[in-house]
Amino acid sequence: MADKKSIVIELRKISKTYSGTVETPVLFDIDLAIVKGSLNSIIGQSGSGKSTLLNLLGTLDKPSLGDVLVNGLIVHNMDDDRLAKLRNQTMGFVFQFHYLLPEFTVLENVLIPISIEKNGKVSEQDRQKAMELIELVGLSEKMNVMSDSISGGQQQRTAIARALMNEPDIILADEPTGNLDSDTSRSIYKLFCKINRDLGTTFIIVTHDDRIAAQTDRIIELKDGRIVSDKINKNVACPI
Amino acid sequence: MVLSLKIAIRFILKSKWQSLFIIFGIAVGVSVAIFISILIDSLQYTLIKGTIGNAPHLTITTDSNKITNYNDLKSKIDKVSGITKVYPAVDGNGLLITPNKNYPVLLKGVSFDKANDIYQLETRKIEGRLPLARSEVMIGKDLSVSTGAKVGDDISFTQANGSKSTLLVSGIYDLKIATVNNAWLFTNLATAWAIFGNEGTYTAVNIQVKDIFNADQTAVTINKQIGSNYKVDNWKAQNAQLLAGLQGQSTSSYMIQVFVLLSVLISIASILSISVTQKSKQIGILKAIGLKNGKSSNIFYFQGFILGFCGTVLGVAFGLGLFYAFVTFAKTPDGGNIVEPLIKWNIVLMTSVIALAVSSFAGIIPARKANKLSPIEVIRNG
Repeated sequence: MADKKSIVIELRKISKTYSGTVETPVLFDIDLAIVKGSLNSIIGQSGSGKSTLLNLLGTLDKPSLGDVLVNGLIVHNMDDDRLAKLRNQTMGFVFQFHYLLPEFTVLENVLIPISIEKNGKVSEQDRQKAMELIELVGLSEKMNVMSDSISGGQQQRTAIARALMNEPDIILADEPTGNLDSDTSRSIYKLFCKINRDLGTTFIIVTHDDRIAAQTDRIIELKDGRIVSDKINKNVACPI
Repeated sequence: MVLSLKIAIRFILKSKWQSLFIIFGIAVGVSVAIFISILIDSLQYTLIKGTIGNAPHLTITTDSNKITNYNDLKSKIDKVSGITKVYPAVDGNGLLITPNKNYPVLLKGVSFDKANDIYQLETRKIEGRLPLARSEVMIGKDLSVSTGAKVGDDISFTQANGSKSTLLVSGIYDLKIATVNNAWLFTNLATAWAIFGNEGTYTAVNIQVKDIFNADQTAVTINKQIGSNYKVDNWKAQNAQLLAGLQGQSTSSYMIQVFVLLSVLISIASILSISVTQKSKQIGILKAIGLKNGKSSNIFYFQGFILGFCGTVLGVAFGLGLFYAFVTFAKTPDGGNIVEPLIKWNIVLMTSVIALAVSSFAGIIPARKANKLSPIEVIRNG
């Protein structure tokens, strides 16, 4: 059992049912604690509830039953604006479909989280930091290019730099390489691992690729809305 | 505020054609509203100027038809604000006798150094000169045509009591109003006193005011100053039908403007609503990474304001341009202006402010839509 202080996100007895014309239960009675600084993967087949679990961890969605705790705080009673602030300051998101703002350049997209925090009043120091992150993801030459005129892999790298901008405690990535070729995918995971090891940022990565999961510290497997396996990988090295 | 404004500007610039269409739509609406407003004002100004511009706006009379203390009255009238011209007159009705027909006329005895400010007979005379000498008279163009009287001819003026006077036509004027041109004879005060008697007294004091639409209120104020022995008539009471027509025209103009601005409101609101749907992915991701509901709404308020501002500026320019084109190209057969331009800048400003407020207001529906948008909907649906 991990030390309470070292837990960054915790799910307690979480269930999720989507209501509509037909009620669709997706997750059942999930207990999960994510340790600070760890590199985690969530695996499972399509429809197993991986993305739903990630959205609950990211406070983007609300559970039907149970509690979500972020840094020890129960988020259940927080209103939209408090949740937005919490996400802005503690989480970074990397989605399968990149979701950059095509109206902005690569640099401006990376600056968005700090712009939201400071209401647009971005300092020179912030710009400098954003440029360093762009350099970290290998996109220095594309810094001032509109984000919709770069390749899919470059867009995903930009999304990673954006996720890191506010120095979040945790980065949640949902099938981040789902749309990318294998070489680009490998370079993205290498980058995740490097950031995790160098900056101590916690990662939770949803993937359906067992080989990628094998390179993370912890593999959580979901099946039909339940955790069926939770394995710790010791001494995992970042892929070369 | 800054971030929402920046995002709003980028959204507008990214959808250039859509933004241009919205701006153009607002500009057309505003230009129509401005053009109609200026045109109606100018038409009314032209009509009023033609009807009462060369006539007294207020006339002071007494039951005895005799004003003996003009200087005293004048000093009291001068205390009332908004008075531009004051002059006394000696008026009397009578008939112009010709071998074939008798014409009812009004002989107006005036002091030309004062009355010329109102009637501008010096510039309105088309033949001859002002009737400055004893027994001289100036007649209207239409009366000259009807009676055949020309400059240098003698005419016979007969009062109701049968007393006859022979007057020499010294000039012919054209005040551009048929009823005046047909019936008014201008003469000097000495001639009027010689014909009507009561030398040194007047039958009326004529006044022009700055704000002609407030003439009735000014009449009441003057009446209070000079006392109830005097009667103060105003042009509005004497031209009730004209006023009703002008007011009807103004009301219809306001109605047109309201509906034009309403259509602008609906157009912007519907296009911006579509814009929220188009930009839902961006709004969703911004909310996911921490943008608060209020700030996401502000993006659409700003869009409405910016589009409204650009459309209004362009619309004012279009509206004024359209009006100047109308004034330049729409001419009377003799080359004169159909309307005399009168641009009330406060009305232009008010229309612009309303258009801008309406455009900003149009952002409410899309702003509410953005406010309610949940990031999970966007993320789950890709």
